[in-house]
Amino acid sequence: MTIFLRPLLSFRLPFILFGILMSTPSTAAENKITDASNTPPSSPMHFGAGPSGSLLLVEENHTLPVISVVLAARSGSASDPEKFEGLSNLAAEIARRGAAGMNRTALDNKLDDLGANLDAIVDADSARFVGRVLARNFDAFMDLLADVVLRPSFEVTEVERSRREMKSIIAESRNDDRSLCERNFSLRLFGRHPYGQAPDGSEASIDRISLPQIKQHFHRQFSGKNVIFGAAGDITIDTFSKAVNARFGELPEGKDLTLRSPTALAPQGWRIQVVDKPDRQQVQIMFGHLAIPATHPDYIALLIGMTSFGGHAMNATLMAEVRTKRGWAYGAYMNAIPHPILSVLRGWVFTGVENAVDTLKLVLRLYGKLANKPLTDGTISFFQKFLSGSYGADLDTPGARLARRIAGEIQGLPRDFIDTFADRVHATTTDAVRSALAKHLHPKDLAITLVATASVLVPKLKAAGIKESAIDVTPYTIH
Amino acid sequence: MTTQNNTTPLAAQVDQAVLGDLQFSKWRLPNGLEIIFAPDPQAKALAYTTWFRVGSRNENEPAGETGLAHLFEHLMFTQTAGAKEEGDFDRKMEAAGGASNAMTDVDFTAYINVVPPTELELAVKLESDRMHNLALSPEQIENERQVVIEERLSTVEDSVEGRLDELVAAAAYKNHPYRWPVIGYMDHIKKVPQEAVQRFYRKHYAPNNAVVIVSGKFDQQAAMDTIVAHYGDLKPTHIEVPEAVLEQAPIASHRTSIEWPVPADKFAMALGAPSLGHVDRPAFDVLDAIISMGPGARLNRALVVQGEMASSADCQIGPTRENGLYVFWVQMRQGHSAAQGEEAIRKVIAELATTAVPTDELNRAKNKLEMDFWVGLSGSEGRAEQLGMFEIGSGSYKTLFSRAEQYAMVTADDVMRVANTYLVQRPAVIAVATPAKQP
Repeated sequence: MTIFLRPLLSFRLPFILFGILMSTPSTAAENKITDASNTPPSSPMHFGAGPSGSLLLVEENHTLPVISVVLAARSGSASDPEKFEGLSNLAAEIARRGAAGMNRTALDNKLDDLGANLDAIVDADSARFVGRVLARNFDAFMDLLADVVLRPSFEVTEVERSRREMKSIIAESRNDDRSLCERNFSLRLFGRHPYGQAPDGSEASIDRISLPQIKQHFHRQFSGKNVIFGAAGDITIDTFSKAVNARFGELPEGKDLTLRSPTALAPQGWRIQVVDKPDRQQVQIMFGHLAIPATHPDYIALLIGMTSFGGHAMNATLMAEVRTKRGWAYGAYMNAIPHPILSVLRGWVFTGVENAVDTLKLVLRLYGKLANKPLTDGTISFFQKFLSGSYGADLDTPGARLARRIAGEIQGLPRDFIDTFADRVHATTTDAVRSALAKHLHPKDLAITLVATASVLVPKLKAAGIKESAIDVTPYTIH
Repeated sequence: MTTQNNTTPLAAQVDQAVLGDLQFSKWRLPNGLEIIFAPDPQAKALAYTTWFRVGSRNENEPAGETGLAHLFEHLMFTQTAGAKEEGDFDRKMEAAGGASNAMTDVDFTAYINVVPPTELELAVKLESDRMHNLALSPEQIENERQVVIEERLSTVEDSVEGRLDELVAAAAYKNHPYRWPVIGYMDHIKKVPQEAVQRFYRKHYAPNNAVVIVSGKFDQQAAMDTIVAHYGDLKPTHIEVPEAVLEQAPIASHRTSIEWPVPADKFAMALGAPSLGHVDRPAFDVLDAIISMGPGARLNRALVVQGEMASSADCQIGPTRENGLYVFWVQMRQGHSAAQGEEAIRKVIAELATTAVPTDELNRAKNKLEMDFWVGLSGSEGRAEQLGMFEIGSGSYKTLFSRAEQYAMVTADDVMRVANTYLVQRPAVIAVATPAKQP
């Protein structure tokens, strides 16, 4: 059994999820990839063709009798129509809650009978069914997955129940200040662009979604050319291929729906959004702007530079200056969040209200310095080693490797990207890193979102010389 | 296995275990340091972890020293006597592509390094050095004190879960040291004297109070030689093992509430639970799986799916050495009160205490636990953490492996018995966060 830790069990560093580290495109896809020379040998990765134009990926590893399975659509919440945000998420959730004549309870029981789990997960660029099953029950699990994807019930009672449940989950998500900050920051950064909305939508948009819309959207999303079937663990490509082809032959062909447009408008100048929540003793700070996608030739160089600034390392500038030197925050980070057409460079710091204004000024000044004052060769070399060395830990389980490969497929990266990542990092010159930072950072054009108690924070901002006209206050219950 | 260096004492093998293709072994050096090896040639990384048998339970609460174990977790990354400057540990580790973290709980403090497989020696050198050689300058203590204050603001003062958890523990125990928060009370964190920090280090950080767990891709013989070379000469110290406190929490029923910016009532309801190594724990885990594991579990069905009164409902049980708490966490929906949630929970419990669980549901719970068991062992870091928690919490990492067999033997009667023993007609502590009134 997995031990559940107390919520108050304390860690030296907070848990954060970084954007996926991607490499630049180069080599053609191969059917079987061997490991890069500087990484230890592992079981091979296999690619293959699935039914109706779909793609198969298998990460083979027979150490444990468990198989992870992912069925990923190449389009997520960014494909939701305006005013119907949350459509992809709601559709996938409802499909998971009844299929092939089984209601929600019956389907849950069937999965539990197998010692399996199956979750619907939707982000901006992908809608995925993600599951794990004991290897001995793999075939029965695939039967259920096919039921969910090909024969969802979309029964009216369950649709309405799920709609109510989604709205209550959105309300609950505001309990968490970081999540609240993320929702508001995305909206601030992207405005009405599809990436602006949270994947689960809003209470109002959930109410507008109709049943015919759900059905149409789901079947369009989960069509052959738009999906990737992935498996990792105690399985071979032959077994997986047979299992998929036997069950998903009737998948409509459809088309690749990866979001390629529209181009988002970058922020011009900066304003500060204060999301007003009562009784806060800390201030959540997020700031950032749009940047190049992971497929851009400068991306690895930019990533090295960003790791030196805000990576998950105590020697990164933000952690060293904000936490180690001043003790102002428990965590201070900045990372790249990649999408197929762009990435977001987003900083995140959380600090006591007394230090909030000084912290904000400090991190913005440091970010400006990163863009304008070239990093030394020594600093770049240090973080090249850190970035390439720590990548192995991110790939330590077959499931983690599979997830990275699927994300790479959706973003249009070459199929050897995780295998050659370390080599690419090492091959990047220090000049290329400096050039990428100078070219792609925009420290004067930022979206800035703070979650705080406005009556406490706004006077401090004004006292620090920030004009009231540059501050927007938003109630925390709005988004 | 023997060590190759004749100048260092030989490590003695304590035991071994096999799980499929994976082999595990435990060793002990003459100075008391214990080592557990979990090699996996398929792994991409190496987890080098050190578990000290010291947690918040070892703190002196009456003296105002709560949070010391956790503060120490931070201080261990500052500077050792031989290091040129502060941050040496992180600089060397990160330059090698390694990443470090640490965690503190009631019974243990663990230091986790995940490094490329080629960097075992670096991890051994850095960990053995700080086990006995920490500088602990006043400036470094003060700086980390500020960081911990910020951490507490984030995880307690601005967190509804953190606040409720603290209220529950304080009311559930009377004498047991599990009653105060692992991170410590804010006024204690701010005031704990530097001498207390020094004293804590000398008292608890020694080879005979630690277990090193190495998991992932490494050569076992080379690892043993390196460990013996770097730890073999460290001196053991006198370790005072605190006596077990025989207190089955909650000691009395208690209710408390706070106002908070929540959409509707959110509450934590604590009942009793057996320790990780307790003979009842396998049956209790099965009971827990029936109640709360997965969307099809009874709690989710009663409160979220069918009852439609909550947006989330879950349970939590810790890896404690002594009996602890089983806590229900529920976020009610607007228009529904915590009292309704509590009533629904009590109904779920009452059914389990009076009616035998159907065989198919019992088997489902066991299947879920089996899956959970394997998932917990995937990855070098996760595997080291599971082994460490069982080694500290139950007395042996091998308890983890016997759990599969023990789960298989659990009967419907066992489930009913533990439901009655720990959950029915027992005191409950309930802490509720109610929506703050609009000004």
